[in-house]
Amino acid sequence: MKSQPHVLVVDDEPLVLNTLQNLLEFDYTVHTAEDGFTGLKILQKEPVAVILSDQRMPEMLGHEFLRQAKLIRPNAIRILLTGYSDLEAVMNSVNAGEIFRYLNKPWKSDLLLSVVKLGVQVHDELSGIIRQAAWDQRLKGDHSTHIEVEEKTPNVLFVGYENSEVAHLVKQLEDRFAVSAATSIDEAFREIARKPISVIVSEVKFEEFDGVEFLSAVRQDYPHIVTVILTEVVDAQLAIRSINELQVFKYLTKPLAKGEFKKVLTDAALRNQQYASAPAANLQLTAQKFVPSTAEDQSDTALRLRLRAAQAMVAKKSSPAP
Amino acid sequence: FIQISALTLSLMVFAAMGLRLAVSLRKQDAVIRESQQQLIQSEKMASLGQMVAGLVHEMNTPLGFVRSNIEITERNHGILSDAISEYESMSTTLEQGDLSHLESQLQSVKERSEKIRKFNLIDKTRTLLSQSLVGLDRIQELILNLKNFSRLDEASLKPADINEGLDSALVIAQNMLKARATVEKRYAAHLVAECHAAQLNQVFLNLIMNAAQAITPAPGETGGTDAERQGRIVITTIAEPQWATIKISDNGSGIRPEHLRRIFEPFFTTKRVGEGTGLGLSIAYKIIEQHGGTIDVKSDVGMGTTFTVRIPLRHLQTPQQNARLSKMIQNNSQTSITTPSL
Repeated sequence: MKSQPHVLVVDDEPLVLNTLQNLLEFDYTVHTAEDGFTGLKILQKEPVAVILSDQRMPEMLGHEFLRQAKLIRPNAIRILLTGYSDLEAVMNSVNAGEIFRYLNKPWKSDLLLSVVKLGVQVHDELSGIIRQAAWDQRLKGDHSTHIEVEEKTPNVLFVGYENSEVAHLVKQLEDRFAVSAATSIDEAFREIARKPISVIVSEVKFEEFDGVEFLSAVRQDYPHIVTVILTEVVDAQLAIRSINELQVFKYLTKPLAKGEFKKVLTDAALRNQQYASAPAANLQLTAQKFVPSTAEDQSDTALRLRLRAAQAMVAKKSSPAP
Repeated sequence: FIQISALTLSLMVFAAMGLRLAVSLRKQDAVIRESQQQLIQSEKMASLGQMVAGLVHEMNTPLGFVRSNIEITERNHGILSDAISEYESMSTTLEQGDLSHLESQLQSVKERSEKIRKFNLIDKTRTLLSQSLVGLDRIQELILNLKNFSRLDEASLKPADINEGLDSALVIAQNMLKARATVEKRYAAHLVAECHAAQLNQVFLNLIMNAAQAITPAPGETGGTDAERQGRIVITTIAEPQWATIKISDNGSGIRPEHLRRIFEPFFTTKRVGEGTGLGLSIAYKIIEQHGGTIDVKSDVGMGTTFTVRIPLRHLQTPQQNARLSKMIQNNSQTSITTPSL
């Protein structure tokens, strides 16, 4: 018999574990743990492809467990089950555990099954690419796993901030990044079409659209751009969407601790290079391979039309005069 | 004469000013009283919000697995009925003496029963159903607790079990407690006091929530999971001849002496804006005062805090209170006519 993918489920409620075991066991080898510590021990032994974890557990919270799980099995796809979307937990986990998806309790069985299936596919793709890369390196006799930082200064685009605020940030960042700013979505689209952007730092509120819609539209054409949300708006629903629809790199809330922002941008720029050299590391892009984007709502179409217009305008300008 | 008339005039002016001042003071007083009422109401809504948040979490877990169990049972039912119908069609053709498809039919029945056996679907489905009942019981219990906590369908002043009130407050606060502290109960047996149970439960919930908040941050949020720093809340009830004493102790951060003097003042809070209105304890104080009881606090910074509530077992009433009470009961019975009983 063909070996089944391994799934680890962590929840402090045994009845939930039993239910998920029943739900998943036809297609997967299911491991269960009632707390994070046991979960980590299982991860050390078993080739787990997908981890499903509850958030609220005594001793170790879900996002903390997933953060440590990432260190043990970086390729395992992490899914968080949240019973009640409490703000603190969501904000913590967006930035700490690099979650693939949030699922709400009570969950729908078919949705959960499809997310786990997608998780396994993304995991396999990710592992395959990394094995391939290791193989290539061995052939080349190159043993360094270090990713070379390109000499070029990464372009960072700020969207939706006051000029004074951007000026303040530029001062902190100009030694390492080329910073530009756009106040509107159309202006941002033109900037993106004009030059290769590594990282977009965006507000969440624009006149007609929110930041997740805007960044998702950019993503379609520029999947390697790493997105960071920087805002005063603390909104769990928005944070969940920014993970589930956008796989946002960080969701930062103002005020920022000193030095924090520079570090985030450095990590984001590095991530952008990873995406360019190994596209499978881009979870959102890899997931899209298996589930073609079904985003056909009006805001998406409208935004994409405006992006096309910006691209066309830039192309016309840059083409040499006849 | 001029002096006298000037004096009278100035006296009259003073009197007029005094009168105006009195009127405007009274107006001000009414305004303040009204805004105070609004604030108390908003504090009630805030704790109601917390309560709902906790309950939603507690209910979503059983709701989650019960729902999923039913979906899985449906799936399993499909597999079982499929196997039975395959078997039936085989036995029908056999009875007719038709052996031509026997091999393929047998194969098909075997395949299906193999899956049923491999995953032990018959036993497991039964377990899923009985666990679903456990989940439904849990939801029912939560609703019962909410009902006990709010006591909307009862007259306001009557004998109530103090331990039961504490337990219902604990269930509601459970969501917040779970990640932060273990709770130890040291209850005196059968502690019944004549009280406004709904109001008293509100006080208990407030004190328990404060205790949980004093034990911050929740383990895991800082990455620390040191067992020695595990939060602990001890709830003690003591029966005395005339009094019921309730102690709620935590091993949290404690309250600084300069804050301790002020904690029962309205609007005094050390929490960040949006986290607390600073009215919780002042309302608790008022409720206990109305019961003819006392509320005291002892705290050591870094060691923890103990709140002690004492209420008389029998409610002592002034004629004024009696009148107000009968009015409240009247209102209550009116509302219970319009609201269906739970």
